[in-house]
Amino acid sequence: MTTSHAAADASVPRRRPMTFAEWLRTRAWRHAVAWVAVALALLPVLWVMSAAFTSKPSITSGSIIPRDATLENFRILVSNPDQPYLRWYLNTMVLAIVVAVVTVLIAAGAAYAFSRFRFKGRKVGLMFLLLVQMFPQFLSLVAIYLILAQVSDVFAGMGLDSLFGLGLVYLGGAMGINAWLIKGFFDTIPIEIDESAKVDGATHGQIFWGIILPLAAPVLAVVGLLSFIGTINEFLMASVLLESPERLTLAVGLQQFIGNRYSENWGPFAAGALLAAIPVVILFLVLQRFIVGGLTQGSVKG
Amino acid sequence: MQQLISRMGGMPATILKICFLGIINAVAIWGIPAMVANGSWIMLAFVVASTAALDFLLLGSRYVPGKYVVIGAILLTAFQIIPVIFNISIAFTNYSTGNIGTQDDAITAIVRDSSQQTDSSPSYDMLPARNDTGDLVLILTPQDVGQLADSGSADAAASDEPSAQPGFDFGVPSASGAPMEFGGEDVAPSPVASDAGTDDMNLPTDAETSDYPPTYIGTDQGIDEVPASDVQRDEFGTVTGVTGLTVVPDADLASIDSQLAAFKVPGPQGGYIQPQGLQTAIELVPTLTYDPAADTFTSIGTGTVYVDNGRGNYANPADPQDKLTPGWRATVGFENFARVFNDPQIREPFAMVFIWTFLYALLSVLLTFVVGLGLAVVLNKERMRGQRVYRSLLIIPYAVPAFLSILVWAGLLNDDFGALNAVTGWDIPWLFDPFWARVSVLLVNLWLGFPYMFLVSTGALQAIPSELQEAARVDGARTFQVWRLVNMPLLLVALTPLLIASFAYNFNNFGGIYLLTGGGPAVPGSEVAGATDILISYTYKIAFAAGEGNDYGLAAAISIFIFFIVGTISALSFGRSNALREDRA
Amino acid sequence: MRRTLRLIGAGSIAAAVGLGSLIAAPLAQAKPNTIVIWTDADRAPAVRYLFPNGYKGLAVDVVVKDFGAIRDELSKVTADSAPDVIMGANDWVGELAVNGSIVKLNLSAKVKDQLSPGAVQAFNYNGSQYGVPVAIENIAMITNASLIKTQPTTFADLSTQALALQKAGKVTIPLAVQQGAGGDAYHMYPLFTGLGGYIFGTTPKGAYVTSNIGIDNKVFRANSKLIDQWNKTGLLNSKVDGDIAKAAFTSGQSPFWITGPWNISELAKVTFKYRITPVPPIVDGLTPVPFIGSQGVMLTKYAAVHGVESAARSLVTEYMAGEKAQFNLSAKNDRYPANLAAAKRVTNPQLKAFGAAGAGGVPIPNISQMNSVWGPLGGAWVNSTKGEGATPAAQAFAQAAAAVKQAVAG
Repeated sequence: MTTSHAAADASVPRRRPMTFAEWLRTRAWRHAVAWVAVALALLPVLWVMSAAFTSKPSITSGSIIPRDATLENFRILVSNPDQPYLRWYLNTMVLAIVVAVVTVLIAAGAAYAFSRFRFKGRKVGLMFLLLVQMFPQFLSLVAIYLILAQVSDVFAGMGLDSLFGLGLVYLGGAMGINAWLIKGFFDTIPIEIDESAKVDGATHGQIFWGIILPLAAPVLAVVGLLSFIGTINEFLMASVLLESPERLTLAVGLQQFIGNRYSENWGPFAAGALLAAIPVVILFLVLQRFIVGGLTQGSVKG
Repeated sequence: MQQLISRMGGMPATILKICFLGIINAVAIWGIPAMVANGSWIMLAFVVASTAALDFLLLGSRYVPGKYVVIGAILLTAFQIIPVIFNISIAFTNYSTGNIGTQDDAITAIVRDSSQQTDSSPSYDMLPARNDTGDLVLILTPQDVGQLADSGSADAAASDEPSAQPGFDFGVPSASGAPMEFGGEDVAPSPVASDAGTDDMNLPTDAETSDYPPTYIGTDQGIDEVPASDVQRDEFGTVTGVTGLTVVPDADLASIDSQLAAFKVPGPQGGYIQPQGLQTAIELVPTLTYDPAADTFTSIGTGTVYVDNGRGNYANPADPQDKLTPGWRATVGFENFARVFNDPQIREPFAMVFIWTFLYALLSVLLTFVVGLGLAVVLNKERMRGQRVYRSLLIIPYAVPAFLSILVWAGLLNDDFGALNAVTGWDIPWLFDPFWARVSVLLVNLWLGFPYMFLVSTGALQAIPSELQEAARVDGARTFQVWRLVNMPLLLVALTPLLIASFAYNFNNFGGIYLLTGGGPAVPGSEVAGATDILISYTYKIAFAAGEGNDYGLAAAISIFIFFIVGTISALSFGRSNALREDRA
Repeated sequence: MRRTLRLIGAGSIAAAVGLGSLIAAPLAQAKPNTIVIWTDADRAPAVRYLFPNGYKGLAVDVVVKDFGAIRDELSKVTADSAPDVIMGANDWVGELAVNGSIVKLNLSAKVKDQLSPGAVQAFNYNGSQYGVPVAIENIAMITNASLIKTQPTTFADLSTQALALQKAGKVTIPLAVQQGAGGDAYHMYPLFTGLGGYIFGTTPKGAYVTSNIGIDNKVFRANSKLIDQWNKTGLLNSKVDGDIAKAAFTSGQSPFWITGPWNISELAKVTFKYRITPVPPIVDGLTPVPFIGSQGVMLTKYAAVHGVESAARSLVTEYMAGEKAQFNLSAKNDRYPANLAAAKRVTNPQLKAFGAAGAGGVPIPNISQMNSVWGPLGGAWVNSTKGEGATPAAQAFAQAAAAVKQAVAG
């Protein structure tokens, strides 16, 4: 299954125009359902947007359009040194981007090896990757925590309470299903391309970087994007492994920020949520087509 | 293409590679002494082996596929495989609050804490100083000792039902007369902090010089009284120094901090006078002695002998509950697993959580699938306008990072007077009531998850060849029949792996629960697990957030149960996935 | 060519080893010569105010944590990020001491004499002192004086007045006590004791007897019918949580509010007059008393690791115990100081009134078994006051008692 369904709309044969009565009978209810679904999907989002721009909004205020739009909440949000929102934002984006890029490289490297080389242990390796993937990493949280504690004792600043350590942990899960996904794509690239390049004197490195990776860009984008979003969303491990306020990710920081103080912090929280959501939503909508393709292949957004 | 190939590779790539290896090697080598010192042998072996593998594979040219796998494999081993093995080993230990460190740590802590203050322990005002050879000594002046403060509880009557717990004297003046009224127009002035007041640690005494208590010099040999003429005092009579000694100035205290903390002066009562900060020292008398040869502690007062009970504590063999704290991490065999089945306090919540986890995962998948598929069917109509717009809008809940949506929902459902109820006029205790809290987590998960099902269903629907449907219609099948006989089976074939994956995902959907309800509300009879806790959040609470302390051993044991369940589910899912089949071809 | 590359590689590695060591070495030490204090957002400004220039030549770094997280995270923190001193509640002492996270303190008689004896005792666990109290706090009942002209002297009177106001449509919540989803045994405690309940019995010396559980004692059981009545009339409702209670009282929608001094700043904003009193007697012969919570400073085992043990210990036992520190803390943070001299100097009348309402209150037991009590006891209140479909109180509390008994025995 690939992303070809997107083209289905175009292939519909032309028919005679519909009468209004016909439209009413066959289409109207569909639009009605769609409108209801869209409303349910978007109301909470609009609510947050409204709260973000309302000065001292109460959770209970039901107005969608803020009466006096203000940036007060954003100011409060970024001006509390104990809750360094901008720092969390930066942490999260840097972590998510780095993890996404490295994940793509690691998974693509593994996929390349498994797709293009025949070596001893290849089958076993592939099966092993699949098997390991069945045991989610976060179930070993206690162990990971203790391992990182040991790492901190030796390599200060690289274990617990460091984004570096957390990033390494995330990368531990980088191979597995991603390698499978990319390998599936690599397998569809004709081996003849490699071979002709080899004849031209290209090394395996040049083939990988210069030919295979550019050709596989769509699937790499999907893996990278899902990893990016997955990192932004990850709460469990980040909450256990990170500690200092200035090293938190958005997920952990905002959760602590809102804590049990919904009534006090609702406005700034809404502002923070809005700022955090915007880049991800835009990315998602822009790359929608690729993501859908990746999802139907079995990857799950974190 | 040719140009592209020649641009890649070559010198820049090689230099990059060498820099990368250089850093890795540097860090690894730099860490070796520390790893040896800490006795982290497994880590040492792993670091050395992986560094060697990296160097060998990336610099060498023999084993090409290895170059592409090695980094991922190292990370996979370090943070996926080793943790699983380590986790299993933790499940067989009593690693929990009170049994955290090693046996040596425990002995040190017990010895340290066994030094007790007695009722007659003298306290001293202390000044750290250096003698002419530069050694640290303490200038000690006995504090004006009154009687030790009574704890205030002695007057409490013996407790019989229901006189329970006596009220304590908190030194608060009691109210008299009619209650005062505050607020309104005459707002009480808010107090202004002032720096007035004394520090109170060295109260001035206006006594005559001759009445001053004696001053001593304390060294690790004992205390020596200082001739009164050598004692220097300020105008309040506080000792400020002793002739021949240099008092350590405040600015230098940091440099002698640890030395001071470990300083022991043999005291007149048979114990040791030990600094209790920077200005006070108290004589502490040991209550336990440790015999390293026999590995036992003996209580000096009662003569009770505490021996290693083999389960991470020194305990009194006559009374196994009489243990010294802290204990240490020890292997306890299958005890943690047995507790899940035998200990009613764990078994009952576990059973509840277990069932709910299945229900939650199953209902989440069903609800999102039904809604998602329904919408896909409704919107997947040829020549329907606005399909693309609808689709883009409908996936917004899915595009917003889930943790944000959940936190927002927690706010909207937050209280009985919260937004959802306020707007709809309903009066539903969304997060208070166990039943409604479960409904809430399911509904929020539906909101989060239906776009995904909508997307994949749409994809699958469009992939059904229209000839098949046409053919069925030609054969006289009605719409419903076409659905039942053609579309549904095809859809299910395509989507079953995704449904199973979604089930596995929700089975461990920590965020979906923890960020919304924290696992709550509380359920009577269950201390840690709340009504909406699923296994993973329950495990998390046992390990990291339970009020009673942390039980890593039990958490690890439960996570092994989850391993097996999820492993089985995943095996089902992947057994059917396309990826595997493609490689078999 | 290949050979040269290898040589270059080896050379770079050697060079990088040196460079790497240089870069990494300073990383190894986490903030030298600094005392790190963990406290919550409420108290942080006050604590910062105390140490504008550090303490005894060391810098003081105040790190803000969620109140509960201070306790939870202390058991999983690494030495690098760990605090030297924490400011927290007296009922944490048991767990943290068992864990070895906090270390024993020895207080000289001179220091002890300055402090409220009950508060000092509240930080004593198994005969050892683990903290220095800096503040005590308790809840009281706030009455909206413009709605309630005559202060009720009995709970029955309170109930009548409150329900009448509700019937007249003047208020929405007759008595604002916070419970919420998980229940709140702390805020319900005056009502609990007013009905004859208690949690653990004590020996004459004040040690807790965990086998003597008074959640379901005879007196309380006999009086528990009143809870069913309150539930029926709507006087109490478990849906009211902290936010709701605050909003209802401050907006004049509730005549009575049971809360603590942490809301003094909220009270400063209200436009009506109010009174601060104890909860009036419910049943003859029983006085409703609140829990007395005590906040204090504790020394962690990490202070020794960081090489600041003496200074941190001095900060805890010598400085924070003193009048100056506690008075300033109190003035900045609206809590009653545990230092007696500082307490005498409290001028804030509301704070004094809260203090007076705490007379006879009992400290929150600091034994770890208390953790098995909050959930079931709060749950019993929730279940018996959730409006329609509520469990009869006698039954709900019997269940809670059984749950606690089982948990404590285990």
